[in-house]
Amino acid sequence: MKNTRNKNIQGYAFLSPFLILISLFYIAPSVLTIVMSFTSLDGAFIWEWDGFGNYLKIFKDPNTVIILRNTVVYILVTMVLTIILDLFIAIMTTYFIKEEKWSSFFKSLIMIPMITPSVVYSVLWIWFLDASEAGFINRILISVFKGAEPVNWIARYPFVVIIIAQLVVSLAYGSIIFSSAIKAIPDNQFKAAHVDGASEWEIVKTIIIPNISSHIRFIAMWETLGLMTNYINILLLTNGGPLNRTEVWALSAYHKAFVGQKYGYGAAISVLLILVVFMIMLLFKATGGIGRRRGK
Amino acid sequence: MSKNKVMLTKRERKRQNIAIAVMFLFILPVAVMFASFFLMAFFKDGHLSLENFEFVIRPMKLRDQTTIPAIGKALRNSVIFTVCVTIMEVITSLMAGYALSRLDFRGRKTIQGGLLVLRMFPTLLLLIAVLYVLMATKMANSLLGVVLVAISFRLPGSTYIIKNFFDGIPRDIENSTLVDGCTRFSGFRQVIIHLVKPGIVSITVFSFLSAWSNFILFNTLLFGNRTPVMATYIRAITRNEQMIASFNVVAAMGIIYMLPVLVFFVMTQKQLMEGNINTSKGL
Amino acid sequence: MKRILLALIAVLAIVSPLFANGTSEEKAADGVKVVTLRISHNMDFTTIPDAVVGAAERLNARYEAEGKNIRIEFEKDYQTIDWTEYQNNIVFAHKIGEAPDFFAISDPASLIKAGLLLDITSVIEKNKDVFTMAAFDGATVDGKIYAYAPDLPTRVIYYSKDDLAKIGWTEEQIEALPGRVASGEFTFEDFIALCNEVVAKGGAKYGLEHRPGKGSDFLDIMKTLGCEYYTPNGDLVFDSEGILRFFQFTYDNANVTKITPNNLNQMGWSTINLHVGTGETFAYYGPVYSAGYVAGAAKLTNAELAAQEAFILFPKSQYTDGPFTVAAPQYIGVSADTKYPEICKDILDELSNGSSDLLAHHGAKINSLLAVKAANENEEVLANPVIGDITYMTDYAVTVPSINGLNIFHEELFKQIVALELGETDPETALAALKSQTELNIKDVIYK
Repeated sequence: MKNTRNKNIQGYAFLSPFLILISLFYIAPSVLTIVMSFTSLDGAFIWEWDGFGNYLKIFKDPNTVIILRNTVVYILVTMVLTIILDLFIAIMTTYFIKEEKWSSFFKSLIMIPMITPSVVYSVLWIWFLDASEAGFINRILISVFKGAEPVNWIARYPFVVIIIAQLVVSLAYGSIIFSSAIKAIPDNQFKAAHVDGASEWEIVKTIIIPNISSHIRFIAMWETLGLMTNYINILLLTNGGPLNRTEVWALSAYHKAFVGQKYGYGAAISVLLILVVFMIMLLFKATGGIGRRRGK
Repeated sequence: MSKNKVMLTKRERKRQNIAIAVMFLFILPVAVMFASFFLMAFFKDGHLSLENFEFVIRPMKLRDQTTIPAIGKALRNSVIFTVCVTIMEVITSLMAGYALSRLDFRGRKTIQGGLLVLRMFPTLLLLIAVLYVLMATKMANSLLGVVLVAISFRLPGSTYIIKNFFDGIPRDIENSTLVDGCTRFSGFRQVIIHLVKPGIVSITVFSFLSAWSNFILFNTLLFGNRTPVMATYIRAITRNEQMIASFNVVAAMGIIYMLPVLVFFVMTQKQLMEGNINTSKGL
Repeated sequence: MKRILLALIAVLAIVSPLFANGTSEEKAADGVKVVTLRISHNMDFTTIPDAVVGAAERLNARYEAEGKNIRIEFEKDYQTIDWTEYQNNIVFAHKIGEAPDFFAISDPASLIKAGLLLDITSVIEKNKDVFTMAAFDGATVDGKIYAYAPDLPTRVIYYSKDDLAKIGWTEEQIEALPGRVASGEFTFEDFIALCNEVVAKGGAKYGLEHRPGKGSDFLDIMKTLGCEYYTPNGDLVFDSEGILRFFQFTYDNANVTKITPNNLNQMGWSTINLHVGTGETFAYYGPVYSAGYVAGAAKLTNAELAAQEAFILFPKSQYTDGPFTVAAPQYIGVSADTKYPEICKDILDELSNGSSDLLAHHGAKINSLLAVKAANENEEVLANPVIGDITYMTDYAVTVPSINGLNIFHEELFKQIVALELGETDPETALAALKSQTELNIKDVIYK
């Protein structure tokens, strides 16, 4: 009896800093956000009960449809492209390039955008695509096609820009995980295939992809959740514009709260998104999660 | 595929060379983009010059009305912030990971399950409420508050990694020290810490990188300019519609900002890759 | 474990002074009570807070002469962030009791509504002969004045004299234009036709440009086009017809007549300033203090710029009665939470009287007239080549009251302007979108 209590005390002694931080910065804010979403809290900081007012407003706002569509397209396109390119990089650097020094050279290069602070990364794109003659791409364009007018890239193709910019930073994580998973595939599977005279494409299709399918599922979920909630690159690059063309759900919560000072409204938008996030996590769990210890 | 140096057949070598060429082409656009951006820092009005780095040593006048302070203070704050966050995050997650992996106590299963949810929790959506919590606990508008929030937001992830490392260590090693009459704490210290070194290194790397480049927390949780950090320092002159500095100066700032990251990156890229792999394990 | 904890505590101990918040604690030093005030400012124009600090220094001398044992010291916090973010910061700082005593203001209405500004009516009333009182309209609610107007910049239309010369205007014709606009003879429609003519005849690449961000300048054009967007007591008016007219105007300029580049809003300030300074664009509308930036971008002195650029009122149009200019000060506020309201008021009093030369210095530096009449007579101001020529405009100046919800309206209006110029929406759709956002997000709007 005493032993059990001791063990409990011991366990919670080790856990206490963790639990304190989690309750302060996850649990309390979650509860607050939910409560806040039912109030008309704004810049004057008066907690006034508003029932489902904010939620109704979300449904009434004609922009909601646009934002929802943007969010879905942004997530799907970026996620699918990320996975395809991740697979490409992983197969290239693990299956085709067998010398460790080359494969880690490429993997390191791919990690550089990931470790670039977003404040710098966004300026880099803004400069690269600058609408005037001074922009990098426009300079090339003009020197190749004499007399071409500089193109206003970010304003004209804002959606493509944010997808590519996000893609470049997302690549590192998935390709490293895939490549470690490919490394773990037993060599004899490949040997057998080669003996059978299988083409490279068949090897990719019948050996590599089935072997790492649980990792692909994991990355698909991971990227989906990340894209759904992390709006920093969009915030810094286009800030949702022009008009609402690159406004996504999470960013609109930020805008409503920190730009429009509608804290209650922003909280309601956040609550809906958090619900979706939970649903995706449950869905992932239900489909079996990732194979335990497949990685090594 | 075995890791040691493989003898490649002629066919394999040819395939590899093609693959290397393809990868070079694939990476080229982004590489050119990064390289030409940062090269710009060394040019002023078309001439090779270090003038763009003036802000490193003294306040720099960008235009008639705008002078930016020297970078020293922001750099110092960033270093302090990063070091604090990294140290505290590692310690807290080590303790929590140890408890969750090794100790038997009521509620352990619940917390383990909660960890899985927490590590994917959309923390950025809670910012408004987090600000309220900071206000209520009198920690708003202080670097301490930002440090704690930054640690918390990453804590479930790193605890999870560390827990996996602890899970991988055979119980026997630890049991022998416990039998020898050591307390849990000394057992924790003497044996485990040594054994999970790779785990510690990998969360340190992640923690360092994310703390160093953090922007949104400073932007929303600090109300003034008394504690500038590198991210806010650069952001102040590069806001969307108000590009105040020339791109050359921003590139120069980017170099100063990225330098520690790059050094750290070169030193730890192996662990970084392993760390990446570990985050996906056992879900 | 102990060692790690010790190390952690040591680290915390070393850095804890850095976490400490600056407070306005008073310390006793040789019998003199030191009062530390905090002043916060955003963006350029640091000559404003510097003037406040300068006035406080002179006040110190006066206190000493009067035998008051008080010495004021200032702690400065100057930032360069988005105005909305800045104002959020001010609100949050009040919430946690760390508000600066003086701070810059972008949208007085919401701060007044939130009760964060000290009522400074007494200081202003006391000096009512000193000021152009209209300067305070934007910070007055129910007859009480909540913010101090350090300057009185007007918003005007710039045009390039060189470009007119290029298309064959004579010196006399060019110099006569501001007068013809002021008399109402040369209308807004005439002016837009002129913008088109200059471009058509090769005098300039573009006819009319504006700022690349949200701002009140757009409201002035709306007003010129007969859209009254506010009532005298500060309610927002949504005049569908007027706004539609403005949207049509914006759309046509960028997409039909193309006197405005359609990617204007993606250009940086420096590009636009350069366009104005080099005459690449014939006309531009915005605050007169932008002249300093224009000169800077084109590497000109103020005098050189004044020689090639002229400023006119927003002309009379077929929808309005006459030309006008909007005077919009960059207000500074005193926190309602300040521990030393009387000292803060004393500082403002000193600034308005004995230290008005500091305001004059500010005005001369940024090219703006001042709310303190005496400061406009200061030789530094008189010597300024930009404002010297436009003092007549004060007779045409209108001031806008503090308007509820204007900030959100600005935000949405500007989004539509960007899309209109890019040709991604049309005026009717933009009007409908603006209306639905206004209905959803702003309370107490009068629809017309």
